[in-house]
Amino acid sequence: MLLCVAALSSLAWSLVIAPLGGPDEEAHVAYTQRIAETGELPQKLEDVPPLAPRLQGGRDGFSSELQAVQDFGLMWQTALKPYVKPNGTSVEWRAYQRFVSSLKDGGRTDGRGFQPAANNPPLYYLYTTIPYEIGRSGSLLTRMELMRWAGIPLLLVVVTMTWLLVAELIPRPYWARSLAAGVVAVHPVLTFISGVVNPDIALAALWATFLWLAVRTVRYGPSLRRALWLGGIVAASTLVQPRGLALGLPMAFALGLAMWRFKTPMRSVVRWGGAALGLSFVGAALFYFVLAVYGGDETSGWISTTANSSGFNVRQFLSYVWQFYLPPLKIMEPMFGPPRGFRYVWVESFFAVFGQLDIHLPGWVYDRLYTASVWSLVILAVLLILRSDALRRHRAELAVLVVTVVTLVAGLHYAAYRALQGNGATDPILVGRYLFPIIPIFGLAVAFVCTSLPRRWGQYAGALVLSSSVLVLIGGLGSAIVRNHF
Amino acid sequence: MRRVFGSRRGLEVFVVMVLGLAVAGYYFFNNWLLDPRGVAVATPSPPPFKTDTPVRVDGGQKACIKGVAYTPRTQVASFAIATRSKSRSQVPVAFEASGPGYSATGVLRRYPEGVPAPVAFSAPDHELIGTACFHNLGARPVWLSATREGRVASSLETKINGVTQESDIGLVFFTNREHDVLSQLPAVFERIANWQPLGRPILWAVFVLVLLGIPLGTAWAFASTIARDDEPAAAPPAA
Repeated sequence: MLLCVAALSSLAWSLVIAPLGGPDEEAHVAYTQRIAETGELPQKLEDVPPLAPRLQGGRDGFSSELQAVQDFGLMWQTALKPYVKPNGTSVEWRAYQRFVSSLKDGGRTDGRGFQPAANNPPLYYLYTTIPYEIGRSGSLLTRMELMRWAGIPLLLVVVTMTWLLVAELIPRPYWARSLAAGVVAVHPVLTFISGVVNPDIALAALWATFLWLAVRTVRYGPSLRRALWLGGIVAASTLVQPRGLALGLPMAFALGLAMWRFKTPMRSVVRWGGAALGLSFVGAALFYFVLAVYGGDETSGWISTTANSSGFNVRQFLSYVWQFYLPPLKIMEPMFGPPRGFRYVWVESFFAVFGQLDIHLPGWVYDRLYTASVWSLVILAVLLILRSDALRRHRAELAVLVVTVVTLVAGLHYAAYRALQGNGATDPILVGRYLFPIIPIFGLAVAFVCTSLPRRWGQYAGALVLSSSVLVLIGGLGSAIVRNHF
Repeated sequence: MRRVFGSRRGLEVFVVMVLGLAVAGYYFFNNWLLDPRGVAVATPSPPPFKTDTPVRVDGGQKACIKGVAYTPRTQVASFAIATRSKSRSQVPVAFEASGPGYSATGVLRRYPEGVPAPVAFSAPDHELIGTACFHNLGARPVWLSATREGRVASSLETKINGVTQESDIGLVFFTNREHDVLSQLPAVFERIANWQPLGRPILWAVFVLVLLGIPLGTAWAFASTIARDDEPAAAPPAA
């Protein structure tokens, strides 16, 4: 039932969000189209082919067909400008069809250059090539919708893996797993991301699978099969998104811990460890090979050469991280970059900011989400201390989860700091959806808190969390309708 | 189904969740659904985002945009005019909509300086692509708010006497009165149907499924696992 709910939520988002209305969706679509139409990846070029006449220029990586969707539908103009609504009349789309059919190759093949997603590795885009090919005879709007639907199975993987993870760690009561999987299945922003073309949902699916496998590995012991799976997932994660590189560390930790716990013979350590690390390195090598051949860099262009040469300032970085979560101390300089910290990034944009960060709910919703999040974290911390004896039985599994969380969050802060250094402290390029790779742990934490309460209270607390998520989800869908049509 | 209804606790949680969602949904969404709000039907050419680079239209001249979509709901045009004059008299500007078998005019005689002002005109009875002209009916020049910002300008060109202007005049169409969300859902689904392969009947079905299926499905999934905890453990196999 939860899988049906998740699929329905994702489908609903795919319908109400205007074409190219997801975060950088035009860039992700352009990448897929480039692979599907030419068999090539986006490439840094000296001379980029011009777009078809009449289209807005200067968007090198987009085909004329994609650019026409942006121009005729005002999709590009809509982003971040609430007063502009995408065009949606049938006469405009008929004019678009006439225009596109007058272009050579339907304007599909001339998007050769770089665009914001071009530094991403190609695995997710190879995946979305499948729905693109299925819809080849249709318009680009049809192909884009089919590509959006390709996010549904990935969302179902996240939900399933959350269920399985909680089944391992909190086998009783049984409702713990439906609560954890439920908060993931109706998570407003996760379902939104799965309903648009975006590799973050693929990354979430891979990390969710990793978490379950890693927990089983430290729990039941390592094997060649498990090592191969873990290494393969890390390789795939690396080939989906540059942030996926970070999974290598939790994988090495989980495998090492499992081998230590189960006193694995040295020969097996070498074989299994070599297999897992070898696969991971193959993924990383392929990633860097792709970047080298096509002229990109692993930071998606956000960190310039100048920034790299300016060097990492430890004091400034620590001050940035402190002020991300807490008010500044008197000895600190003002926050490096825009004052967007825990509240906006880890609460508001994690739970309820949609579209190209331009679809919001009323302010009081964010106030309550923030209050609930802070109190939930406090309660979680208290329960972790109070139930430390019971948790000790799962300390190996918990260590894997903690290392995964710390690796991701620390990596995100580091990348955000470097991005600020690179773009003149204007944008840390950090939003809540970057936490989706560890969203099963969010579900697990909710389940842990609720099952730690007296039985009846816990069940109603779980019901409250699920109901609130459903309301925010439906409210978000409604806001998207108003944003695009009113 | 028997699992949830066979367990008192599971049934209790299911009923409380469903009732809670229904009450909260009514409380939170009733006004949202029924409060009237302005409806921007189309944006042929977006207004400036940060930098206004106006288009000058001399007395008697017309500035025109071709390729503008009109529908039965494009009933009010909104654009900004500046006269850059301290005198009280304003220069009348006519908004002239035309297309195959269609022509309509609305005249703006009084307007705030440089701020978007609405002018009503007769909408066509069917959708069509036509031309929008801003006709300076006075003797003095006016400046129409426009933009040449890359991520704002539309692909439609503004021309005066056949000469393409560097800036695009900002033009937005609204309905002539405010509407609530509920009454506009058919129009919303019509727009969405233009974007993707599913027809309107399927969109309506998805809408109903979302409104009912997501809350009920979530409550059901949670309650059924609560009920499962209440079931007696399976008897061990006989020796």
